[in-house]
Amino acid sequence: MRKRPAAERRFNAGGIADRALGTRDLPKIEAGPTDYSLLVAVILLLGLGIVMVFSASAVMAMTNFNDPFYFLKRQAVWALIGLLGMTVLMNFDYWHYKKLAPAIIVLSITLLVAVLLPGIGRISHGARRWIGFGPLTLTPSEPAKMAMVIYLAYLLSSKGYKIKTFFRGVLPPVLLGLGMFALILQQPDLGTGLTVMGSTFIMLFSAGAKIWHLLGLIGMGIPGVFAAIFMEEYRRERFLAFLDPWADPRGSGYHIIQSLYALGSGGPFGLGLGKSRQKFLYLPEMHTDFIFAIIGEELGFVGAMLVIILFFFFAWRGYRIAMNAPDGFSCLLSCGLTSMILIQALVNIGVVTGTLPITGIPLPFLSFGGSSLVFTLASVGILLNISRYCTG
Amino acid sequence: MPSSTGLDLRRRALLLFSVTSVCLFGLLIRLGYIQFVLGAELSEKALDARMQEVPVEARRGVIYDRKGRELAISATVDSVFAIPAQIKPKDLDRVALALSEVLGIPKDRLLVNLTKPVSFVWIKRKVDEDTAKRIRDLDLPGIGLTPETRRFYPKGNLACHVLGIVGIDNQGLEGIELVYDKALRGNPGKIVVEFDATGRKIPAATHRYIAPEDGCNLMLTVDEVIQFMVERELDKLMSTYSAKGACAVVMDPKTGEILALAARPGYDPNEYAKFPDEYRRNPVINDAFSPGSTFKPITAAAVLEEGLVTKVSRFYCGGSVKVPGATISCWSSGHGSQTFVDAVKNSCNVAFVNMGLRLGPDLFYKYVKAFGLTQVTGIDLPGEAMGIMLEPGNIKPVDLAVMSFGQTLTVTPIQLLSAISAIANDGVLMKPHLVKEIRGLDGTLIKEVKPEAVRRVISQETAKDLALAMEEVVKAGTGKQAYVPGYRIAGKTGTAQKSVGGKVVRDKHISSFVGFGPVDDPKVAMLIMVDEPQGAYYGGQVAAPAFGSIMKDVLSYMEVPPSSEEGREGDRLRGVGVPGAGMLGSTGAPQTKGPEEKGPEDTVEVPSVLNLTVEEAKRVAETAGLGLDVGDQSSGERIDPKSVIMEQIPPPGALVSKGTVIIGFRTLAGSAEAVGKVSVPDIRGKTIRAVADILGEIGLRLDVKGSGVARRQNPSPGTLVPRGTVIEVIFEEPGAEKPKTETPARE
Ligand SMILES: [Zn+2]
Repeated sequence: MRKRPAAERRFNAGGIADRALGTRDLPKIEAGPTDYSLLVAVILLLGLGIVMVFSASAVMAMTNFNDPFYFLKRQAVWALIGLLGMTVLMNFDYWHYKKLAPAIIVLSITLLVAVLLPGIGRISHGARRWIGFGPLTLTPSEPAKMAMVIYLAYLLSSKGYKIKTFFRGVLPPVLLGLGMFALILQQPDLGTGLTVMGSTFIMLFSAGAKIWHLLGLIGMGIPGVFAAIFMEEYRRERFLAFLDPWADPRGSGYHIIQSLYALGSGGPFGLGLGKSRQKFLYLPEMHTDFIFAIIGEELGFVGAMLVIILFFFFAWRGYRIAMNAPDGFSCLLSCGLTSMILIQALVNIGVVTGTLPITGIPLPFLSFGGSSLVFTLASVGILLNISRYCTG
Repeated sequence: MPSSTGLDLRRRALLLFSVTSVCLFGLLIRLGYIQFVLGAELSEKALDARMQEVPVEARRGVIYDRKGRELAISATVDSVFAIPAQIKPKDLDRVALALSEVLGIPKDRLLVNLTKPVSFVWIKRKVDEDTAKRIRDLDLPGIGLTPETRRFYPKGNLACHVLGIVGIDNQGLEGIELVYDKALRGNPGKIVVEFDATGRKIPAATHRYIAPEDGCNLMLTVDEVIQFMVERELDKLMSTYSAKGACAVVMDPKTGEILALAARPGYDPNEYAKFPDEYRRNPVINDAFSPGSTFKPITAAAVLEEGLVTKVSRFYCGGSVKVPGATISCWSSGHGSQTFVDAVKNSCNVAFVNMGLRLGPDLFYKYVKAFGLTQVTGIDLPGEAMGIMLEPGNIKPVDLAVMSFGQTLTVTPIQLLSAISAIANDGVLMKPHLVKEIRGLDGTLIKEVKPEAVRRVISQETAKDLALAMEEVVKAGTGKQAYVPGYRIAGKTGTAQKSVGGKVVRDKHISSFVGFGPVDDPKVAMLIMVDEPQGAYYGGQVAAPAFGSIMKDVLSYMEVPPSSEEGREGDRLRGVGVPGAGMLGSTGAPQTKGPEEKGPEDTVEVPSVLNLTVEEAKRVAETAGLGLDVGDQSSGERIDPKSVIMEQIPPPGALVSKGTVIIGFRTLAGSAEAVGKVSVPDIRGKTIRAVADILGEIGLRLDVKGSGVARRQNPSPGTLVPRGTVIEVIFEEPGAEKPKTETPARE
């Protein structure tokens, strides 16, 4: 680890706008070693995810596709693509995003609009979330989360940005976030939308926004969230089911109850890999949003705790990168990307343990799902790149 | 503006890390709570949710008669069920069609069941072995067979009103089956299979077999042979008098044990649905009748016990008697001056009106109550009724007068017989009961029903005096036709006009006879009632001969030694006739036979017809001047002439009068000395139904283990065993080793 005097740190007074990096040819920092411990944690999560996706989906895959490896194969391919992307981005220096940020956000919003258009967006399970390119499908909301983080890092670290003010500092990113939230909600995909909003607020917070500005906005947002919940029948049911899943165990409470059954059946050491009973189609989306429940059932508290510890480790390394980031942009970027992934992990585990209402957020690195996996790994690639320039 | 945004930024990142850590830690705690604290409960619930149960019925206990002969047994049969979730929509039509063809159930109805949103549904219960095999061979998805037990009553309608019936779920619905349902039923077991959400069995899933706890066996107080004798006589009464109904109860007066209880019309409990529901009504227990003169012993007992009269008190009958408000006539034009005993013998209404008026209402009711006629006897049969009696508070002399000879009050036959039995039992009223023992499967005694004395009603002396008076009824009075040669029998005739809606109907009668014997040591008490006999209706004409006939058979069967010389002396002195042809199983109408003198030339020794075919046995019996009834004469059942007599009544060597009909029992697994040993047949490879038939035919009992076809048996084929031996047969599913596999449909 390289130690640098505090004076060398590129933070300056008068705002987080990064003067030194504001210009084209900077920085002239030497690239240090990558944070391989973060990489190891991610690889462990990824590996566990692939194993568990196979274990959880084999029966369902056999039933639906007559091929127990159906989901394993796809997840492995996506993991490879994701790792490839991660490697590329790991070696793609982060400051380039500054120039790309406006283009990235425009492209992302374009995709979000496009997916809503009939003929482009593919409908599955009543939601229009996918854009197809031949055999590949893309969920535009996944890159949108990342694009939002990159753009906000760029915006909030830009020279003279008045983060401490409300209308010129806090409100514009919130409006942008709400716009994306609204678009994503049209798919509908509340979970990803909430992730975008959550990331937006965390970035505003990180950037130094006044706490009471944020709290005020959140206070104003809560009625809106409840309105969103109660205007949509299935969301209302999910919410009520969260409050009392046993009121309708075969209806709206079904997912939560089956998830708790799985976790409860696991006990301390689990039923053993591949021995899940709940995966026999009792727990829907057992390989996606509820993969953590199958982990808890097959590997027990020990396995589930390992996942939590790995995410804790990820948080430590991620925020450590942010704290030691060479400049304001990279600090905000790494903070945002780390938070984006952790928000999803926290909410997902919260849902699976019945602590939060069902939102439909996948567990990063572990849940089956190509776009989510690829863009999460891409985010890790950016993080790893920043880690090379860390000062700590 | 803060001076050090960079530090602020780092602090905020640290804060985010802290918040994230706290959240992760919170989730870890929550997870631990779910997995450790709630774990057991949740995992239990999860298992329950995944389990589907296929019920396995417990085998219903066997009902034996008092000598261990089977009256109700359970055999294993298969039932067809469906697990709708296992039937894929594309198979639905095919499955329904195939089932419809085999089971003969309309396809539409099957489709309704096959698509029910339940985990388990019966398609058809208790199908025969052939149907079960066809279903098994079809191997339809989601369709299975499970063994259930079916109740069989091997003796058909014998003792049907005692045994009762069971429903499709083997639940007792009537009779002993209902009263002892809990003991007989046992606890059902189940096969629990873990299924996934779409109903497929999970590989290596938990298959729990919770074995059923089989029901207990009952031993009745009823004796099958006595029951048979009684029912045969009732059948005869029904056909001779075209009666509307008839019933009879035989009881051991000293213990209250019911030796036989029968009613007509009867029904076959195996196929009870084919008979009108009212045939299942048990008049002995469920109906109250006007007892008529059979009630008179109660009045007589009361006056004797109270010392209001003695055996030698005299009564005058001028044909009628005036009481305040009415004139009551005797059935005869006048009995003149008569002793108490004569009054009983003559069944003189006038004398009994006198007795009743002497008693007064209080004492009258005291004795009616003491004899148990105002409450149920507590017999172990369901729906026991109670007679109706005027309220004791406001009865007028005319009411008391009429009640004294058994009119305007009603009692159930079981109440009446219990009361009369108290007289036979030296004045102690016993509680009638039908079950002697309840035994577990391994033969352990679970409950033994001991004779239960209700109370002493009258003194021993009164009882003896009354018995002697009632003996006169049979010796020389209205009940002569109930006479049994060689035995001292006490009895009382009864002829009551039926009343419909409170109005007496002229030509509808109930003829009855109640009595016991031998008087010196009563072994048997019996009541016979004939409802609306045509042609003749006096109890002495209709019921008494049947009583005598049954009594003779029963005493002979029970090997009751003939009564002391005194009794026979009495016969000779009086020159009382013997209704010989009315005895054991005669074919003619009893009342048409005149009395004939009993002489030594008429007595023959009963030959042995054991182990002979029916043909041979008939020849042997005819040669000896006797008849043979193997059940064909009384029931009209067709008998295979090659079937073998296993048991006979009376036993070989007994002295009987000529013309007596021997009762031959063909396949009863009776007392060991009466039956020989048989060779155990080889039943391997046969179905349960076939095995049950084969073993039943030669008097062996079957203990079914498993289901399917017989694989092993114990004892092995060829072993010589006594009849009645239990053969343990292990059945296995044909092709049970072949696992069922399902290939999920390719999309
Ligand atoms: Zn008279």
